[in-house]
Order: sequence, then structure tokens, then C-alpha cells
Amino acid sequence: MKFLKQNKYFFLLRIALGISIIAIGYLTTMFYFQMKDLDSSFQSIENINATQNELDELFSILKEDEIKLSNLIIADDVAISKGIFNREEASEKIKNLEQLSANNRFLHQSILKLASFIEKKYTLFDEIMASSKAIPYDENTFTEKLFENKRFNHSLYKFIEDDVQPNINGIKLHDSNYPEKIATTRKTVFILALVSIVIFLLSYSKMNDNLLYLKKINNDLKLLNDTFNSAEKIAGFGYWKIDLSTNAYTFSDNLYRLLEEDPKKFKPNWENFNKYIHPEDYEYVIKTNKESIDNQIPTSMLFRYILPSGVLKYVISTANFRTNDKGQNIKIGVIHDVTEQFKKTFELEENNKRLIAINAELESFNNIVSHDLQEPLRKIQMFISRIEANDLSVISEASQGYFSKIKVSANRMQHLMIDLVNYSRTIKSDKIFVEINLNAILQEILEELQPTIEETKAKIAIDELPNVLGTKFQIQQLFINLISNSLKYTKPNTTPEIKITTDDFFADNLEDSINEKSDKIITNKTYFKIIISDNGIGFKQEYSEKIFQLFRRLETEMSYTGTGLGLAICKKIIENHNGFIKAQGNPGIGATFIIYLPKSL
Amino acid sequence: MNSDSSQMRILLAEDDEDDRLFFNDAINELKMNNRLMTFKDGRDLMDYLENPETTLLPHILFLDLNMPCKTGAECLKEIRANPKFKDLTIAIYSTSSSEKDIEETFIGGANIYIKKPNDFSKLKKVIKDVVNMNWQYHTSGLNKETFFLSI
Repeated sequence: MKFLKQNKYFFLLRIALGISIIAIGYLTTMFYFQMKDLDSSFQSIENINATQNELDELFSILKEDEIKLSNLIIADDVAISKGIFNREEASEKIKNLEQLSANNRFLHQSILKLASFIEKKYTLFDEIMASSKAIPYDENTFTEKLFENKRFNHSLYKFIEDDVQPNINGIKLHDSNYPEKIATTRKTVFILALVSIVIFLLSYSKMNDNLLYLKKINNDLKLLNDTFNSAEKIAGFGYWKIDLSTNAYTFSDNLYRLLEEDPKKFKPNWENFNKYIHPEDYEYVIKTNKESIDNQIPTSMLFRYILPSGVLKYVISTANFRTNDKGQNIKIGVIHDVTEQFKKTFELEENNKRLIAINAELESFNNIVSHDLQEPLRKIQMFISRIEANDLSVISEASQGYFSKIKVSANRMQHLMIDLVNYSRTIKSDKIFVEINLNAILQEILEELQPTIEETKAKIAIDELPNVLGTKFQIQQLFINLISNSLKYTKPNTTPEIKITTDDFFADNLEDSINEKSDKIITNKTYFKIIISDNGIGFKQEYSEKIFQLFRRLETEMSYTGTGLGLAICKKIIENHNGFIKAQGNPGIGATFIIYLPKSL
Repeated sequence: MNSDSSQMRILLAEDDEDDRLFFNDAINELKMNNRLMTFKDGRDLMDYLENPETTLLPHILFLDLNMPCKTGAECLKEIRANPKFKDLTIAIYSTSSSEKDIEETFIGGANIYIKKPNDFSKLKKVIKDVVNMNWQYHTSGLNKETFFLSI
């Protein structure tokens, strides 16, 4: 955008320059013609002055000759009459006058006429002279000639006065505006100088601006270049450029550094760079590069190179084609050192493989626990039940006591194993959520727990429950554990009462409603809130977090058996479902468990 | 052991000797008119079933899943592939109660899934229930919920 503006600006500058040149040219031409005009005025003034001079001199000559004529007549000196008049000088003057007046047509004509007058005058002189010396002398003719001379003189002067002099005066008058012309010329010169100065000043200021601007751009570019260079250094990449038309290479400084060489250490070209490529990758890189240049396709490849120190580096080289402003095809590439990332990725992959293996082992361990360990236990229990049914009465009382302890221990072990398997199943569970009808689930659970419910004569009240999203066996496990807990930790001589109620819930109010610090809050999510409360032995509120810990059992009387896994499994299941579980206890009054399950995933 | 053709013929494929013993004792104590044959693995069972001399086909087969030579799942597949045994009731009898096993045997065409009990009296109850079950009725309403027999 800035450059576009700059272009427009240069265009305007060019127009201004053109206009200035035209203006100066015009003024200079004008000045030239004015000078020429002045020059010719000066010439004609000089001419007229000379003409006047010549004319005056001509009259002096004529006057002198007139006097000579009078003297001759009086002296009657005929002998000296021949060649006494300054006829040649007069002709000379006429000739000069003709030349001087050559530029003025009117004056020239007057001069030509004057010439004929002068010719006639000298003819008259000659005739007077001849008549004065005529033999026989004729008084009348002579007098006649003298009169004629007098008349002729009169007409000659009249002619000069009326014709020649006005012409000369005219020219003088014509050139009398000479000072005016000089003033005009002075003005022109002044304007010319002024315009030149203005243009010069404008140009200078503009040029100065441009220089400053260029300097600024230059600084910016330098800064950008510096930034780019340090960015290159920090990010661990280097770039290269090939002008495909000239095959000229450019390597950035950091490209050398990536190769552990000083910048500009070697001539930037393909051969020098290739020396660093790992021999196993060499062919691949060369081939890919050739194909890229042949088909003008961008490249992106991962390869290794070996530094002079012997260190192995992994780099990603990406390159693409561009056309520069001269229309030359250039290929620009970036080489990025990804050794660290590559090593980390490699480590991660290794760890992943190990994790998968561990998981598989864990799964087989699960299978062992759930099947292979339960199998002998089940048989032990089976034998116990057989002895119990047939032969218990025939052994000693002490042995009967031991036998009963064997049975309790075997049962406890069975529960522990079942819980362990359940817990491990919640850990590795695949999160495939389906819509689950809680009412149906609870119905199934009640059927399953029917014997215990009958035994404890518990009253269970269940609200109409919503459909939730979840993994069925986990949700089932969750409610089995919670209801079993309520059925287990009952107060003696009290009818157990269990209530399951529901409520909608928006996470914004979560803090307030549970009145304690929550470890995770997902706001703007609506939750199903399901409350399971009982009137059992309860617990102290300070244990409300601890009871969810693995193998954590609260100090209760030994009559309450448990594995310490049930609530840990519940918490795990709820976490798997992105929900929360909270416990509220009141010793001797009851326990309440609140489940928050998100309405949507 | 007499071979009355009116007797209920029950087969048990089970690799564990103790389990075979429990099963046998339970059947005996139930005093029902039936005849039990036990097999120590899947191959034994299939050899018997596919033997042309076996003319009196069994009514109910209790099939363990984890067995050497031929697993219960393999036996189930072969039996259900043979139209000759289309009326044979197959009860899976396994320690495992994993969803995977239940699902697979249900799809494989077993009629009921029994988790091996850990109490002899329960075992007797299970056998009695299964033998006395109206199979025609049970099969017509069979679904994944009723498939797993809860004791």
C-alpha cells in the first residue's frame, strides 16, 4: 500500500518537473526574442544616427559647393571650374545613405529620390558653369539658370524637409520605446530567475523529503533485516534462495550457523551445501530437489545432515517458487532445525509404545484377577459351602469358629477382587456414551439388591429420573455402589430410608450450592443433579473429600465390612463422565451424595 | 447309568475336574430324571456330538468358555453352524462375567449365560432352574437382559 502511494507520488513529481521545464523553456524563449528585439532596436538607432550624420554631411558638402559656385561666378575663374565641386564626396555620401537605409523601405526610396535630386543639382551646377562661360555669353540664359538653381534648391530642401527628414524622424520615434523594451526584458529576466529559484527550492525540498523518506525506509529495512536475522537465530532456521535464471545462490547467515560454520564461510551453492547431508538421505534430497525444479512443485522434506563436529541434525526443508519483480523465477527455501522436536517426538513415540505395552499388561493382569484368581477362590468357597452343608456339625467347636473365619476371609477376598476389577475397568474405559434411562437402570439395581433390601427392610423412594449420557455399566456400578453403601452403613434399630431425588442445575451456582472449594468448574454447562440421601450412620463433614480416596475407610465399627474401593470407583466413574460428586455427612443422622452429570457432552 | 430315551440328556464340557465333580454331585442331589455326560475339553465334546453313532441328541449343553484344545466359543460356533443341533439348548457356564464374553456368546447363539456360583446350594438351584425352564418360551422372549441368568 505504501509503495503504491509512493509510485503515485513519483508520477506527480514527474508531471511537476515537465511543467517546470516547459515554463522555463517558454520564459527563456521569450527572453531570447526580447533580447533580439532589443538588439535590432539598438542597431536601427545606431543606423538612424549615422544616416542623420551622413545627411548633414551631404548638406555641408552641397552648401560648400554652392558657395564655391558663387565664388566662381563672381571671380569668373573658369579655369579652375573643372573638377572643383565635391561631386565624388556627395556620391559617396549618397551611397552610404543608400546602404544605411537598406533596411527601411520608405527611407530608402526617399534616399533614392534624394540621389536623383543631387544628380540633378550637380547637373545644374555644370549648366550654370557652362552658361556663365558660354561664348557668346547669354545673360538671359545665365540668369534663367540661376533662377532655376534657386527654385531647385527650394524644392530640394522642401523634399528633404517633407520627405527624408520625416522618414528619419519616424524611425527615431519608432525606436523611442527602447527603454520600455529594456524594462520588459528586465521583468522577464526577473520572473525567469524567480521561477527558477522557486522550482529549485521546491525540487530541493521534495528531494530532501524523498531522501529522508528513503533513509527512513532504509533504516526500517535494516531493522527488519536485523530482526529477521535474530529471529532466524532464535527459531533455529535458515533460508536460501536460488535465482533459477542465473543459478545464483544466497544463503542466510543462520544457515551457515546451522551447519556450524561462520557466516559466508563458503560460496553459497548447492554442491557446498550438499556435503553436509547424511549419506543415507543424500539421494532422496537430490532426487526430490531435481523433481521439484523440473516440475515447479513446492518441496517439504525431512532429512538429516552431519555437522563437522559429527553431530547429527534433523531438519525440515520447505521450499517454494516465486517470481521476483524482474520476472525471474526464484526458489526460496527454509531449513528448520527440528532435532530437538524430533528427538522429543521420538521419545514420545517410544513412551507411547511402552504405555501401550503397559496397558496391555495391565489388561492381562485384570484378566488374571478377574478370572484366574477368582477361579480357585470360587472353588474354595464352593468347598466351604459343601463342608458347611454336610459336615460342619462333626468338627470341634473351635474348628467351627476357624471355619467361619475362613469363610468370612474368602468372601472378603472375593469382594476385594470384584471391586479391584471394577475399578480398573473404570480406568481404561472407552468413552462411548449412550443415552441411559436412569429409571430402568435403578429398577434393575433394586432387583439385584432385592435380598439385601428385604433383609434390612429398607424403604427406598426414587423420583422420576432423567435420561443421562454415559457408559451403561459404569452408571450402573455408580448407583449400585452408592445404594449398597446406604444399605450397609445403617443405624441399628432404625428402618433405613434412602431417597433419590433430582434437580436441574447450572454450573454458575455450583460454588454457592455446595459451599466449598471445587477443584474443577466448567461454567455455562447445565448439569443433572442427582441426590442420594440416607438416614444411616453418616460421617463427619471433614471426611467429605477423604472418603473418595482409594482404600480409604473411615473409622467405623468392625461390623461394617468394606473394601475401601466403592466410593473411589464412584468418583472415577463421575470423572469419566465429566461430572462431579460431593458428599455431605452428619454423624448419626445420615449421608448425602450429590452427583452432577453434564446434560450434554 | 441307564439310557432311557425319555430322560433329560444333559452334557457338560468343563476342563476343571473339581467343577465337573460339583456339577455331577449337584445333579445327583437334585434326583431328577436325567442323564449327565461330561467332557474334559471342547474337542472331546465335538468328537462325541459329531460321531454318527450318537443318535440320541442331548437336550441341554453346559459349556465352559475357557477350555484347552477347543474353546467354548469355538464349540458354540460349530454347533450353531450345524442344523442337526438346532434344538439343542446351550447354557454358557463360565467364571467370567465380562461384557465381552456375554455379548459374543449371545450373538453366537447361546441360550443363557450362567456365571459359575461360589456356593453349592446356588449351583443346585441354577441347574434346577435351567433344566426346568420352558425353553420355547424363554427363547421367544430372549434378549440381552434375560440372557444373563442372575442367581
